[in-house]
Amino acid sequence: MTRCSVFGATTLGGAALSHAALGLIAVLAFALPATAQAKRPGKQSYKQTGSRRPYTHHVELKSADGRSIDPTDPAAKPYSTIQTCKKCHDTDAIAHGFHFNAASTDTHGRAGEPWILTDPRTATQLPVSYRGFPGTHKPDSVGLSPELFVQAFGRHLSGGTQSYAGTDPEATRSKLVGELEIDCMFCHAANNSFSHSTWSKQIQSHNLGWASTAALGLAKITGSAKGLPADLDPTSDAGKKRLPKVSYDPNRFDAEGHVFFDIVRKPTNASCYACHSNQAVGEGSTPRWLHDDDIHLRAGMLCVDCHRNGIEHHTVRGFDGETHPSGAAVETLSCRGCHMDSTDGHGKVIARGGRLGAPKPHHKGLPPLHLDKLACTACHSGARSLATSHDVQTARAHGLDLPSQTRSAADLPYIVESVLARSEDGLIRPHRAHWPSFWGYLQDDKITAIAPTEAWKSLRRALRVRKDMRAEIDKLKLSSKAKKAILGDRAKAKDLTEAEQTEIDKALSKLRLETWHEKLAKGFAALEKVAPAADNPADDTAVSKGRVAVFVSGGQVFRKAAEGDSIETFSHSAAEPYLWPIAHDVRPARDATGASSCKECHSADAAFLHSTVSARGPVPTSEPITRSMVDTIGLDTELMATWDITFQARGPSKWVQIGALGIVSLVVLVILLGALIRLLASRPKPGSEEN
Amino acid sequence: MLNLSLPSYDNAILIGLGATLAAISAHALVMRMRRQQRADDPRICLLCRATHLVMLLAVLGLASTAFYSVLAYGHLAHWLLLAHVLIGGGFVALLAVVALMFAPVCRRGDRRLNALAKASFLLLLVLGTVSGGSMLLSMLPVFGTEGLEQLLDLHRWSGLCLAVVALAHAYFTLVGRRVKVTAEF
Repeated sequence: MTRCSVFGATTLGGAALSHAALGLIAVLAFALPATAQAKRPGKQSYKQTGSRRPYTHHVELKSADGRSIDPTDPAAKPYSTIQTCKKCHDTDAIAHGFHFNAASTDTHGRAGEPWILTDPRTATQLPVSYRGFPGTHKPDSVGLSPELFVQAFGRHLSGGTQSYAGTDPEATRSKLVGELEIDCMFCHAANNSFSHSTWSKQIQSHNLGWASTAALGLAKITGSAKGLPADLDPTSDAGKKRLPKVSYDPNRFDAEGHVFFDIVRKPTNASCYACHSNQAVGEGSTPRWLHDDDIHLRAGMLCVDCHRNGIEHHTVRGFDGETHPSGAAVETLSCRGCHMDSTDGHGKVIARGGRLGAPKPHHKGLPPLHLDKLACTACHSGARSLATSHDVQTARAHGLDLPSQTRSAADLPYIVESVLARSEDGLIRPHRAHWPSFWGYLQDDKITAIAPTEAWKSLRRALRVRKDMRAEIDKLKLSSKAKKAILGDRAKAKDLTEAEQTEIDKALSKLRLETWHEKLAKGFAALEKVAPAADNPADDTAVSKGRVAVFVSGGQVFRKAAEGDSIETFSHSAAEPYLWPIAHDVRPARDATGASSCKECHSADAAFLHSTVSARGPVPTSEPITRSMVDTIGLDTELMATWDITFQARGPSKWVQIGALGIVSLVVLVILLGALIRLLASRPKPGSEEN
Repeated sequence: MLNLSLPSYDNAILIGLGATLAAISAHALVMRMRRQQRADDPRICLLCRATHLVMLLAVLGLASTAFYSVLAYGHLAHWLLLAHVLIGGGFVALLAVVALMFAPVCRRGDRRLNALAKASFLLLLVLGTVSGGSMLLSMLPVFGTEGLEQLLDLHRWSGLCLAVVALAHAYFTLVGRRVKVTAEF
């Protein structure tokens, strides 16, 4: 018997249905009162239970060729999520999902977190995105073919190779490595039963088509598709022998050869954290155990309570003014829309808030002007204290959720939070910031990034770096001679005074900076020797075309000075940080910035407006580019400073006003009372006419 | 059903100030024909007059910062908002001083101000209290967003009325000594 049962849907088929099974069909057909054939374009139909209860999934596994999988077959193929699930679920519709289309150029609204191409050898950290967010690089422009993109970031892609593979499957070696299909279980697996780590390892081994099977623990995968020659025929005997082998766990199959899929309709928060987790690192960061998590999750909500989707899996992003691809109204799934009513700009309520019991904020004493200028997240999200911005590592940038013994705060790429800035809608929000770092060419005032793999070919000998340029320079130590020059006879002393240690640190910083500059100079010389692009092969040197090698890092551009061998820096738009807004973790009302006093923002020492953020890049510098939040927001520094002064007098001013208005009210009262008394006195007394 | 709706605030500013200036001009024209010198009336002391003048200048400052900003940018913000807030604080304090100084002047039978000047002064005090009070309440953690928006509306409209009344009051005070008053307040 062939049976495929997935939540909300049941389809039975196969040639050898027993009478008992037919009877079961009949029972199921009557037991599911809302059963309906949902017709979709094409010939598929999907049975729906109509119940809110998730269906119990005992599923027959199918391979990519649509054939049933026999777990006892030594040549069994990995299971295909699409083939297995599509009998009951509209996988074509699901494939439209935002999460399965990283290669799409559709931005789906505001700028989001980019993928960051990192190459420690060349100290490269480049924000890349197919979506074309301003400030990001297109993957193919920095040497990332669709295949390389999946290899680099597939660890945090929930499948959907089709969108990256391009039009030439041969070029992607997909016939050998298989397809990284949309894996429903990445998000819908219950009880943490999907192993993200295993998924990632399979992708590292180029076993894209095997990743789903391994991650769910259905089978043991041996072998690797990595390094297989592109011309290997996977259907030949030789090819079959070299492809990864699948050994299914017989215990996962029931008596009918079906596998129980422990599925949740609403993905758990843990599933989301696989790709949307982060941790503060470095100085100024707060240990995780001191964090309170998001107030919504504390209240028992799930990420997907707000970030919902229909069958098309267009997950609601939840920002103000979002337009959902389905056309559905999603205003009430944003912070503002859920906690407050949405109006049409003329005060008319178009969508009432309060979903899921969301409390309506009072904002007592907060001038409404603030709500026109600040997004909710400006006060309710990000770090509690913005006194110092700090480094943060994210799942997608730093591979969080995957175990590592070597992860450190110094790892590239550098991401800093929270940086207050205006978003596209003009509202002030907390952002994460990432300053790109890369080797490139400057020509006609335009800087073009060099693909790190290409750059490495030229730089390998010049830089003499093994694995990590920054880390290796950081490991430099002062020579005995240099120490002696600084400390004299105490060069070998272990009990250095504070002053002595400061001198040593200074010398060490200088040495590291000089080493950086030496390597940069050598790197520039090596890159400028490279023949220019094929557009002009007759031109034998890059310099002759006016092309100058540069290195972008920490918000500035390094190049060889016009005279001498020194390195000079200059500003350029290519060095500007890429910013993307953050929304979580959300803090409760009492813990919001400004909840206790206006002076939390409006005073000279208020971290909210006057804390600073420094550009972060691999190249150390004694004078990093540093800006205050007033500057990053684009506010008038003088104006804000003057406001700060006025708020010093705000308290006494209130009392003066209370007194003054009290006096005025009293005077008015006296005048009116006097007039009233005179009016009454001027009225003729009763009986006066008679007299 | 009768549909009563207020004009937009922008239009109200133009209409209110325009109508007041027109009325003052018309009144001045009429009075010019009926001018009567009443130089024999007692005058208000110099300190009172100076304080009164500064208060009216504060109203001018408040009105110009607010109305210019609203008409030019649609809302009050940036340096003009700061100036408005600072002048507003001074205005409220001055209003109390002027109220105390002018209270005797407003008594029945006092001929130092004419009836219209006295009436407009009383209205000025009331509107100043409403306008200043609405902002004072806004600064206290009492009202939520909706309440604050209503207070802001109250402030805007009472502020506009205050500007109109201040204009009229300045005029009546200025010409008061030349106007033959037939009815005392």
